[in-house]
Amino acid sequence: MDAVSKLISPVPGVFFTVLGGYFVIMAWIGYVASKKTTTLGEFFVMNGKAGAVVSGLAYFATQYSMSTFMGCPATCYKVGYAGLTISVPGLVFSMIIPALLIGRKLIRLGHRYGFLTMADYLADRYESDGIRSLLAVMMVVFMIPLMGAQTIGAGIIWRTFTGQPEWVGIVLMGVIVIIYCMSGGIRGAMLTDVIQGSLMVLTAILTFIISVRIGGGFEAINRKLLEMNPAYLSHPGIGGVYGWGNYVSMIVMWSFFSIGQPSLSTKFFAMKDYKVMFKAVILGTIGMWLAATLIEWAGVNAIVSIPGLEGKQIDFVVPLILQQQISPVFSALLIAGIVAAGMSTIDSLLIVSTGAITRDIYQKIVNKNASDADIFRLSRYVTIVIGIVAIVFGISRPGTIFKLVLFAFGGLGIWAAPILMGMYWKRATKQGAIASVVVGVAVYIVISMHFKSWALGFNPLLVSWCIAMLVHYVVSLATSPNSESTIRRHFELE
Amino acid sequence: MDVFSNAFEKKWFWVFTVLFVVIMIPLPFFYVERYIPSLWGLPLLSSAGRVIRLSRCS
Repeated sequence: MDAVSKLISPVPGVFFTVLGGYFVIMAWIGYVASKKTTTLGEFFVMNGKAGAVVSGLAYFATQYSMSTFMGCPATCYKVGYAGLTISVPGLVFSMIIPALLIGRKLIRLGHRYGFLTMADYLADRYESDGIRSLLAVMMVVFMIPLMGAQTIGAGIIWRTFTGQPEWVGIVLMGVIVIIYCMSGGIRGAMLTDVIQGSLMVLTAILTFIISVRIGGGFEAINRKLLEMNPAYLSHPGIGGVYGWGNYVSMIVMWSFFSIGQPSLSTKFFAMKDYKVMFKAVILGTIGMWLAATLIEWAGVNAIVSIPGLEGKQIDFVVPLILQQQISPVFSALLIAGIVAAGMSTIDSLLIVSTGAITRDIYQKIVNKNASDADIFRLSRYVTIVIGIVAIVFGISRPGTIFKLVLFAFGGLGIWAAPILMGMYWKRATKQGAIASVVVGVAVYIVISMHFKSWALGFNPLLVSWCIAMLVHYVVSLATSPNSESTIRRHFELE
Repeated sequence: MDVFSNAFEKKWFWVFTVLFVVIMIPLPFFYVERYIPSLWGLPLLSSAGRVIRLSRCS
């Protein structure tokens, strides 16, 4: 019997009742949203009419996932306070930087020219369906591990609270998300995000309070940590993982490189206007600050009260905290908050990957005669197929939640190069954009898999992105610029 | 039309960019390789006299 099996205390009856009620509410929202979802624009970006509360909470709920609520606290449990480096120092910037750099332009372009996805923007800016296909393929490739990581979290929760195999929880979560995304599109996803985002903040606050209580208070926890190993209380933490290079990488990754994440940048197309965007930034940032700081700190506190978890078992730390000294009903309610974190991320990923296949590959390249109604119908089937692939990925569980998310987020982060160059440099060309992404991703994978020392202590994404920018610059100068009309359309927009 | 074409956004862009860079500098209240006990033993900057170097603790 492993450490987790000894620690878990299944309470299936209460768990099923509370989670069941929660799922019914989510399914009802999906159903209501489906009644209002009749066009492609509505399915993908709510026709650009989302308000500040929906936009802010949806952005935050999409960015913060099972990884934030289970993977990051697990890492903090392993390395100590240095683990808070993952998101705490940079989280204030995680929404404002993308909003300032690309937000306003995407809202205006999206509303004026009917762009529904980031691929629409890039294809128009670079006058290329090649870049559209490249983004679509990469989105599907990297988003499946991101979705798989969310389902892994659901499986862990399922096992902790029911004692049954993890794969059952993975399948269950996958099927529910498929149903409400398939019917309600982005309206269903963003409306459920509002409830899920609120529940996530509440769960983070209460999990933190419980972790302090079961640890005997701050003073007792920190005294014990100092006795166990002083490295828990400073950088770079246990195992020397969070040195300065990694500290800087985490700050930059979860803020600046959000620009390259299609599931996040698509949210700008859904926002009603520029003022809504800034209100959404304030609301979303407060949510992120509360949720990330407290849940990660709870992971550190658990080193003292829930000792002995190793390897992939560390992902169980938050569900185990929520089984300590509180009533099963309350515990199941808080767990719903973590399930919410996973669902709110996976639904947006599912919608965006569906868009990549149906619009960016099928409608724009394979069958240019396909009507919006055809794509709308096809989207629902594609959602099912991608959802099933994510479920299978989750069941195979190739790594810890945080490692999977980190790798996939990095792969998509390279797209910050063509997006920024396209927005700020008139001379940027499609050849430069394609070359930058191909070279950047290849370098990222090679460094991540085989030559970590080449990253000079930083995350491989930082080095790969710098190379991608350089390649973009050099290749753009060597190739013909875009037509004058396209440049005017993108740079003289008022 | 970008962040530099609007005075309001341009000002805040520079404010946040400077702050963004400042938090990456390894100042002791952001990044510290020694345990500096603060209130309730939390590892934060307090006073130089209370610094416990890792080498002494281990």
